[in-house]
Amino acid sequence: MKIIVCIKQVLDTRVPLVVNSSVMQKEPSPVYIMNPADRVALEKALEMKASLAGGEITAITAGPARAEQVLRMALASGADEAVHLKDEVFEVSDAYTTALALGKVVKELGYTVILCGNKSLDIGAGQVPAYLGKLLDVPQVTGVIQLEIISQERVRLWRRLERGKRQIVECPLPALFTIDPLAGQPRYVSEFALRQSVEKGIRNLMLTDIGLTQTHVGSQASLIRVVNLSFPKPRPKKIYIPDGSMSASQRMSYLLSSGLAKGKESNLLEGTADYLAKQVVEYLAEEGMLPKQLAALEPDG
Amino acid sequence: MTPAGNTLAIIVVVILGIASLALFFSGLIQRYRLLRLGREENRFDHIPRRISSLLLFAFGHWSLLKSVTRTDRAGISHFFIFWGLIIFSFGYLFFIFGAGFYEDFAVAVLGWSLSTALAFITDIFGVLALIAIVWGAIRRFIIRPERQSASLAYAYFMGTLGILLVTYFFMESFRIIAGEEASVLRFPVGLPLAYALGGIGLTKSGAEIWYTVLWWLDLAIIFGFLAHSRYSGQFHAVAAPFNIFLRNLRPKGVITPIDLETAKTFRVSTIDRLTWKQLLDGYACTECGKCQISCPAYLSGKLLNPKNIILDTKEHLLKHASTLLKKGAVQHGNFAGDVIPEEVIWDCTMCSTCEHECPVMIEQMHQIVDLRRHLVEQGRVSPNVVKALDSIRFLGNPWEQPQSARLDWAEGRTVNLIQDRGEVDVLYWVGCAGAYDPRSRDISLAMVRLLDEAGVNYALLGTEEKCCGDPARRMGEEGLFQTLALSNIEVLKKYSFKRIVTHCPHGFNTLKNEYPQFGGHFEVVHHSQFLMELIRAGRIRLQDEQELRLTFHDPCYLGRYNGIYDPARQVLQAPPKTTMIEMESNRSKAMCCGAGGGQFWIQSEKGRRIEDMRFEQVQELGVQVVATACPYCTIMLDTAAKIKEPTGAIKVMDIAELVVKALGQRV
Repeated sequence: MKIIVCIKQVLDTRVPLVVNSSVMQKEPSPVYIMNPADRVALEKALEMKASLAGGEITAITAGPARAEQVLRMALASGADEAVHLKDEVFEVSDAYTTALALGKVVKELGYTVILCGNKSLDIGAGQVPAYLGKLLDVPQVTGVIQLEIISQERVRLWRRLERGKRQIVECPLPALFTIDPLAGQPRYVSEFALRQSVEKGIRNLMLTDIGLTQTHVGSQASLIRVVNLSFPKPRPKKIYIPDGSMSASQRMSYLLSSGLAKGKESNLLEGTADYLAKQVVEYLAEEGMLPKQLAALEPDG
Repeated sequence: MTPAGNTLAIIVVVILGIASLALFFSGLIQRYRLLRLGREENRFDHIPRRISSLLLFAFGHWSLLKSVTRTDRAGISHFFIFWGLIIFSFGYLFFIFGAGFYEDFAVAVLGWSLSTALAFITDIFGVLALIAIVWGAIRRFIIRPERQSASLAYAYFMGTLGILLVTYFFMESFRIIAGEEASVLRFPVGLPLAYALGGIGLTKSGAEIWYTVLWWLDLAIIFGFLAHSRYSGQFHAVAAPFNIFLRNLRPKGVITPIDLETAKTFRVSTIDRLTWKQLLDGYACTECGKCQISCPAYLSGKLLNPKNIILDTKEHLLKHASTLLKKGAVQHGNFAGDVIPEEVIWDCTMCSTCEHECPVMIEQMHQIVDLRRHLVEQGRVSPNVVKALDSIRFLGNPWEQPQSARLDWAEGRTVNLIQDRGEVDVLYWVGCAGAYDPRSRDISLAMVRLLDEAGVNYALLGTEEKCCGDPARRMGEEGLFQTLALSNIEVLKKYSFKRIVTHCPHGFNTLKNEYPQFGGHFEVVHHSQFLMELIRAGRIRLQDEQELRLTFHDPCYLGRYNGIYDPARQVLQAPPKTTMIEMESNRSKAMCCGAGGGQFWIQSEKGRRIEDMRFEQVQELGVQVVATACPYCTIMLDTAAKIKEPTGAIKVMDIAELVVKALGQRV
C-alpha cells in the first residue's frame, strides 16, 4: 500500500507576523514549522503503516529550498521517502496551481492513499486537497479523525462533526483524505533522529521534471488573486454578565468557572407535596415569618 | 579438640568446600558476565579519590552514619553488623575452622598476643552485631518502617548470621569446659557462658560432643550459604563497596553527554543498553528505601519509586540471566517504557534527592535520564513534552514565545546590551523564565535594579540569549540540548566579559557544569553569591528597619546539585531585623518544588501537587515570606500560595526582590 502525505511548510504563528497589503511578510527572524494538520496526517500515515505491517510512506512538499526542513522531519519520524518539488515560485502559488503541480508528482509516484492536513496554519483555505482530489479524479473525504483499512480496496473513515458527533463512511481506494488536526497527537522528532535521517535522501524534483514551467504555477496562473491582507480588527468578546444580585466574589467565581459555579441559590423547589410543604415551612421559619413553635410542630401521621 | 582431625573428615571438608566455593564463584562470575553486557563507561579515573571514598563511605560507613537521625538509627546497627561480620569471619577462620584441624592453629599462625586480641574483639563485635541483628529484626518485622520491606531474604541472611554468632560463643565455652586455658581477656563472652553451662551441669565429655556437632553444623551453614549466595538478596554486601569505589565523581547534577557523531542510538530497548555501572547499581542496592521516602514524586503519590527502578532493573537482569548471556538480549517489549513504565520515567523532577540519600551511591536519576532519552528518540512522549521541546527547538525557549519578545520584560527602562557595550565585568544571563514568565520578570527587574544600584558594569545578551538547554537535556532530548549548548557557547564566546551572573539555578548549573563538556568554560556565579559579594563590599546598603520573619526554600539545582546553601541565607539575614527560620527539610534534604527535570512542562498528573506539599511545610512555620533563589521555585510556590493562602499572608519572593525591598525608601 502506497501512502502519500502532502506536507506544507508554514510560518510559525507564535512569532508575530507582519502583514502588508497583499503579502504576508516575514518578520526579522521568521520561524518555519511543519503545518500542524499535516503533521497529524503524517502521524496517521505512520499509524496506518504500523497496523498494516507493510506499506510505504512518501512525504511530498512543493516549496522553496527551505521547505526541505519539513521533509527532514517527515523522514526522521519514519516516512520512507521524501520528494521535494523545489521552486521559489511556490511562495506565490495559489491552491489550484499548487495542487496542479502536486498532482503531477503524485501521479508519477503512484498511490493508494493520499493524506493531507485539512487546513494550513497560514492561509487556511483548505483547498489544495480538494483540487488535488479532483485533478487525480479520486474520492475525497474531509475532516477524518480515524481510519481503518478494511481491505486492499476499501477503507472505513470516521469524520468529525460538530458537538462531538462522528460520521462513519466507507470509501473505495485509491482515495484522498484530509485529516483533522484533532485526529491525533503527532510524535516528537528528536534532534538525533533528524541527524540520523540524513542517510535517507530527499528526491528533488524541478518543475521541468514534471513537465511544467513557472508560468503554470506562478501568480499569473492562479485562479485566486490576493487583493488585500490585514489583521482583523479586534472583536469585542461577548461576556456573559452574571446576575447583578450576586456578591462581587460570587460573580467572579462564576466567571472564572465559566458559569459552572452556583451563584445565588435558586428558590425553585421540586419534589413531592410533603417535601415541598416542609421546605416552605422551614423557609418561612428561617426568615422569621412563622412563630418558632409552629414550625417545630411535626405534622401528624 | 579437632573435629576434623582425621583424614576422612579432611576429605569431606575439602570436597564440600570446593563444591560450595565453586557454586559461590560461578554465581559471582555469572553476575560479572552480566555486567559486561552493559554499555561502556569509564569509572576508573581519579583512583586516589575513589580509594578515599571507599575508605570513608564503605569501611567508615560515613554514608550511613551521617544520615542517622533521632527517628532513624538503622545506620548504627548496620555499622556493627558490617564490622561484626568482617571480624567474625577472621575469628571463625582462626578459632573454629582452623582449630578444627589443628588445635593451636590461631596461636601458631598469629602468635599469642595477636590471637588474643582477635579473640577479644571477635567476642565484643559479635555481641554488638547480635544486638544489632535483634534490633534489626524488631525494626523490620514489628515496627515496619515505610522505606523497608520485611523480606524473607533479609530474614534468611540475618538469621544465618545470628545462628553463626550464637554458636560461636557456645563453641568457645565448650572449649573452655573441655579444658582450654581461658581468660576474660581472650573470651569475654565465652568464659562467663562456660561458667553458666558448667553451672547447669555440662561435663567435659558432653562439651566435646556438642563442640563437634556445632563445628559441623556451622561448616554446613557456611558452605550452604556460599553455595546459595547467587540467589541471595543480600548480594549488596559484595557489590556495594565496588559501587562506592566506582561512584560518579562529577558534580551530582551533571548529565553524561552522548557523542552524537559516533552514537548509533540513544535507545534502551534492551537492558544491555544500560551501562555496566547502571547494572552494578542493581547488585549494590541494599533495598534500604532511603531514596523512596525522600523522593518528592513518591511522597506526592506518583508512580515513581526510585528504589523500584533499580530493583526492577536487577530483577529483569537476573531473571533473564541465562537468555541474556546466550543471546545477548531479551526482547519483552522495550526495557524503557515496558519493564520500567513510561509514566514512572516521566514522574521524576530530577531533584537528585535519591542519589543524595543513597548510602551506596546508586545513580537512579541518571538512569532515568537515559530511559527518557529512549522515549524521546522513539518520539513516545506526551503532548506536553512535544509542545515544550518543539517550542525550545523552533522558538528557542520552552515558553512558546518568540525570540523577539525576549526583552519585553525590560520595556520602559534602559538596559545595557552587550552588543552596544563591548567589554563588561558581568554578563547577566536572564534565562527564559526571567524573560517570559510574568512572575519571574519581577526577579529580572529586581536584579537589574540591584546591578544599577551597586554600579556594576554589566550587560545582557538580549535577543541573542536562548534556552540554556536544561529542560531539554533533562527531558531526555540530548541532541537538542547539545545544539543549544553549542550555539549559546558560540554567542558567549563572541563577547568579552569577566563572568556570568544568573538568578536561575538551572541556567547556572548548565552553564557552569555542563557547557564545559562542549568547550564552554566560563566563570558562572549564582545571584545569591553575587548579591552577597555586593552586600559584603558595601556596594548595596540595606536600610530596612522593618521586622520580617521568613524562611528559605533551597532550590535543588543550587543546593544539592552544586552545594551552595549559605550565600542565599547570608543575603536574607543581612537586613538587621530579619528573623530566618529554617524549614524542617532544608539544605541537602530540602524537598523539591516540583518543577525540575522538565516537570514544569511535563506536568505529571497523578497524586498531589508537589508545590502544594512544600508550601504546606512553609505554612507550619508562621512566616511572612518564603524566600527562594530560583524563578521556577518562585512560580511553583507562588501558585501554591494563591490556593493555600489566598489572603496573601505568606509571600513567595526571590532573594533579589527581598534585597530590593530592604533597600528602604531610597530610590
